[in-house]
Amino acid sequence: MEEFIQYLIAVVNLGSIYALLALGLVVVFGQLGFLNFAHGDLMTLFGYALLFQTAWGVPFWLAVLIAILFAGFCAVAMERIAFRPLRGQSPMSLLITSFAISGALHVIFQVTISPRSKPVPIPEFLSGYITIGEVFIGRAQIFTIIVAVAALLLLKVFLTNSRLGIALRASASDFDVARVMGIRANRVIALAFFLSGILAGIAALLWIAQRGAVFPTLGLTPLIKALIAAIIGGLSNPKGALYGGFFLGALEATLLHILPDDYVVFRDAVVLLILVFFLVFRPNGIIATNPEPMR
Amino acid sequence: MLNVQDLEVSYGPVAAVKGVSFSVEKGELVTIIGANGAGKSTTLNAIMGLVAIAGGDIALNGASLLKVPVEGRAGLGMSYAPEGRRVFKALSVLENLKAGGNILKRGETEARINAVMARFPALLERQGQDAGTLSGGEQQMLAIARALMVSPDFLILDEPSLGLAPKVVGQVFEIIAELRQAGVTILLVEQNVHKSLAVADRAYVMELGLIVKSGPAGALASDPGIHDSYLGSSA
Repeated sequence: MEEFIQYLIAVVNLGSIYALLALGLVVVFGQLGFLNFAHGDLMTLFGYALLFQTAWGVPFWLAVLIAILFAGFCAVAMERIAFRPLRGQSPMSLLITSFAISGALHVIFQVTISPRSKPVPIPEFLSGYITIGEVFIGRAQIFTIIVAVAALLLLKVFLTNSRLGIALRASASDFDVARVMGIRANRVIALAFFLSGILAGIAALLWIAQRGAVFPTLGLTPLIKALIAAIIGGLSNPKGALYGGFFLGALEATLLHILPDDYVVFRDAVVLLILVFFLVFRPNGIIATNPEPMR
Repeated sequence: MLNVQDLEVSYGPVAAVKGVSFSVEKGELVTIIGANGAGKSTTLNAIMGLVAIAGGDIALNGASLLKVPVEGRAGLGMSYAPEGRRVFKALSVLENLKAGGNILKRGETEARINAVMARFPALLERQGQDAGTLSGGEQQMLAIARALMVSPDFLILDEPSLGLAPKVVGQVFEIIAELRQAGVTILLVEQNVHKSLAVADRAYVMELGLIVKSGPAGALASDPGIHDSYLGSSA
């Protein structure tokens, strides 16, 4: 029983971070039809923003808030500077541009900040464990679950109840027809990037709270997980990213649980194998809104 | 209301519309008929700003639309139900209507939704359902309803009867006739020549990017050339 609860917490913990990241990817994909490989670097930008602010003595929670907004604005700036001039080009050009942005950011971080890992001071109450009966639960994990679920709920309310949210989804569904309805392309695209940056910032907070450090290529691992989650879930619908994220979280937690210690190193191989399975048999993902395969 | 002068549109080296002029007067129902690939939908896309034009002018109420971005045209009282319906499939019926009313002031949306739903009771029953799960006929009704959210003076309908069952085609044309009665100016592009000539005031015939014939719908319906080319012996 205890083990099962710990397993469940691991699932929700991993799944919710992956879901937040995959949602950020899908929100942008919906507008421009490409996966933003620089998405993970928004997490790194959050990390450094948090690091510098705490070094300057900004209170932790204020620094977190500012760093999340900073990630949002960096995403908007990325669109304005690098992607907007390519509007109307094939999504492949945008994809390759996003590789370039990611590579450039890694070098900038290495040269101007440090190639090494820097510790981020995490408040006392996020470290350590609490025990409920026989169950040990990491405080950072509980924090992750609460924050991620709250963020996902807020996002859902925004996407389904607000005029902007509906405009964003309409434009993801059919960009040209949405424009005919008076939905402004530049505005929804900027909004999509801002949301993706905010989501990356929140995910980065949770990621760093459990690891306590920031380094130039911090975003790489979570980005790859998010790509897998988004592809498994389906790129055509935010629901897909949500399901894909939790599916991947459950998969990883399960593998960690059932694989003998010597074989845990093969966890990623199994995940990738399942990704291949999806690409072959269900290329549109779990949630496929569009009957035709995505480009 | 609408004035199109010498419109030219090309896709790369291929000229799709080669100097087309026509007009739609206030209160009229004008139809453009012609075979697949004649340039009818391209003409409508140019009017909505969805394709770049190579020459000519498009004016609404005397003012040129060429400098107006796609997003700005909805505010001018024109509205569009595209070919193939193109409803927002992942959005519910209600959300589709809200998206259609995107440019309305905040207080107006609800009243417009109620007014539009009153005209399409089938949509009211399905308002929470994803648009992608509707039947073809229901999706077409939704596409028209979505275009009506802004209470347009000028409505552009691209192949509204395409791929629908005969009974549903009848319903679509009833709605078009009702809208005309209500004073909406309509530009209708159709392959169902028989029905669109029956409902229209005037018609233009397009062939290979050019307008080859025009006149009152009744006269064209009895024109022997039109009869042979588009209506066949059964009509």
